[in-house]
Amino acid sequence: MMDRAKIFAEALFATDEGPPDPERIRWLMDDLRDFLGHAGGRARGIFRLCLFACDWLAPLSVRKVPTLANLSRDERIRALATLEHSALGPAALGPKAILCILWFEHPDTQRETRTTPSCMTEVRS
Amino acid sequence: MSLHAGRMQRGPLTLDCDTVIVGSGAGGAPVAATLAESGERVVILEEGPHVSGEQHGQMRPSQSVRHVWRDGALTLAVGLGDSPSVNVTAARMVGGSSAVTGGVCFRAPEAVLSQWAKDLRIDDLQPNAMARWFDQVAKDIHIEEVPANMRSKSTQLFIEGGAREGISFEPMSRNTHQCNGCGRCNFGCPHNAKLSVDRTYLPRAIAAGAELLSDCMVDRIVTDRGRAIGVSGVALNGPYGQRGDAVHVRAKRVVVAAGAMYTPMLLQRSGIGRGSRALGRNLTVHPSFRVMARFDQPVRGWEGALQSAYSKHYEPDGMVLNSVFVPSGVLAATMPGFAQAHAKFRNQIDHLAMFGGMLHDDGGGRVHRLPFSREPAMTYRMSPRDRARIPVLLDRMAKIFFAAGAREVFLPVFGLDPVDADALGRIDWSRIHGRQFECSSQHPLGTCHMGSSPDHSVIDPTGSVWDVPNVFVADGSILPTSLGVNPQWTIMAMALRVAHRLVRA
Repeated sequence: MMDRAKIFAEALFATDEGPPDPERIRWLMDDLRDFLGHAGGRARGIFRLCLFACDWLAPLSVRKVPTLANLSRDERIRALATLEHSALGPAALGPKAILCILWFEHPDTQRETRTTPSCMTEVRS
Repeated sequence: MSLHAGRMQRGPLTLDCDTVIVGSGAGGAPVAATLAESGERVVILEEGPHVSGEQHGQMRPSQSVRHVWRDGALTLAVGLGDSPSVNVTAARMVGGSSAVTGGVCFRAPEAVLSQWAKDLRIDDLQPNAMARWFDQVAKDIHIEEVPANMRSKSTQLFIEGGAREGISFEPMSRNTHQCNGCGRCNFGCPHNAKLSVDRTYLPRAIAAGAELLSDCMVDRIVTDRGRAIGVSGVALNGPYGQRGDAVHVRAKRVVVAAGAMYTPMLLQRSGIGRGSRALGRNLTVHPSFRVMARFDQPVRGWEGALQSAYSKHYEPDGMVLNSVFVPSGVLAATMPGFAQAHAKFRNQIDHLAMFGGMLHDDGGGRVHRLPFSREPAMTYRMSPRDRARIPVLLDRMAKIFFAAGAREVFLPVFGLDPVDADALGRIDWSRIHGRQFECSSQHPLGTCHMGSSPDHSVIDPTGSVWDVPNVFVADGSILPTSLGVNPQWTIMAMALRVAHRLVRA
């Protein structure tokens, strides 16, 4: 599951300058592991199911052979975007939601997007 | 013992009391305080942990979601037919969802109470009879208006747009004291300024001698010859907070207040209320939709009270407009695209405003019990009337943002790119399937609703389950219909009504 999540995150957070910083992706995966560990079996099940659907259906939506791991970076991005705009789009929301919530809590992301929170007595790293 | 963490429990535990209350949220806590202060021996069992204000402040929003929100906020009521699926969020902690709401308090509309009294033939649900309970709650949890200077810029912009469209807004009321408007309400108040039930009713109950056991999962209500004799469950003191040692509470009376998702599950697992066709049905959720808008100027919508103003302008159409904001990560999650396309939007997050719209829905949902699982599955079939309201609501909200000067609007429709004012008019809403709407809810209600006949209700007018008279229900599940407004004040008022009848009995 974590490999699939990493592929999804690298496609989601890529920029004009290329793939996201590997160090930040490592931080994201560590935090995701902790999140799913605490969030309960049903949350893990839904997250896993959504990722599985994206991994197999997104390539099919651009007429490629599953899974996302078999595609190039640009093809993955195109496949996931196409899936999101299809009737199966809600499948992409689960992973996107959790990964975005975590990603935007990284201090560097907050600095880049000017979204530093104003109300934290102490933030655990 | 007064407040005891089940995860610290060593070995099996057996307790005796007059009343055991399952759940410590907006329903269970007022009952606990009332009964304990009347001299009863009360035990409260709560599945989630106790989290202090200081601990809330030390958590990032996602840490709050993983530790105190149920299922990491991924609970879903699956939409049937042309209905949207609804993300139903609830807390799992001492104080229940009251600790992670925006603190918004509305009295139940008089029309709703009058309808309940008339349809169910229960006179003391009339607005004038219920007023004493609402007044009592207002005093107990310190309900006050949010001052205008605490409104976020996001809210101010929407209000300005509304004014240009002839729509007025009013200040919301919340259960707060000395709130500084930091906007973290949904992740637990770090300043103890939100007077949720873990800051009000539960300390009163404990001061009066009640015992509260957190991290304790109740499996079933134990019955003997048609009467409840207690509950059985486990302390969550196993590895990683898993099920551990057995907990038994012997009691003369059981009050279930586990919320509209879990109360019907507990009754079903215990073989109670099975004869009622209403058990687990009639779920209403107040389907809610967030509309975002991009402005030229920075908005920084997270600075200011999370919820501060509302409009009842469209109430006759079953719609209420509520101010709201969410963390930047949640905002980003709802933006379309991947990679560069997504980055384009996420880099403008500080220019986004947001407002919420909520439907006063008909009961079309259901909580299902799954074999081999204690977790409920939920389905939601929206009524045709409510389904037809969605595009109307979204169109109206988008127009208000454009009147305020928004450049483009993000509608909660999966796969739909942001639209400008011209593109809004070109949307063919008839081609958008219900499943494509992004819908959320914090108000599951009605799955064990009160009534005057066992044929079409789960509990009688006193709050007692029809087939087991010393089992009572006191939470959002007992409301006969949705309210059209945030329900915590009404849940507390209904709980007080049930509790005072128990004291008199």
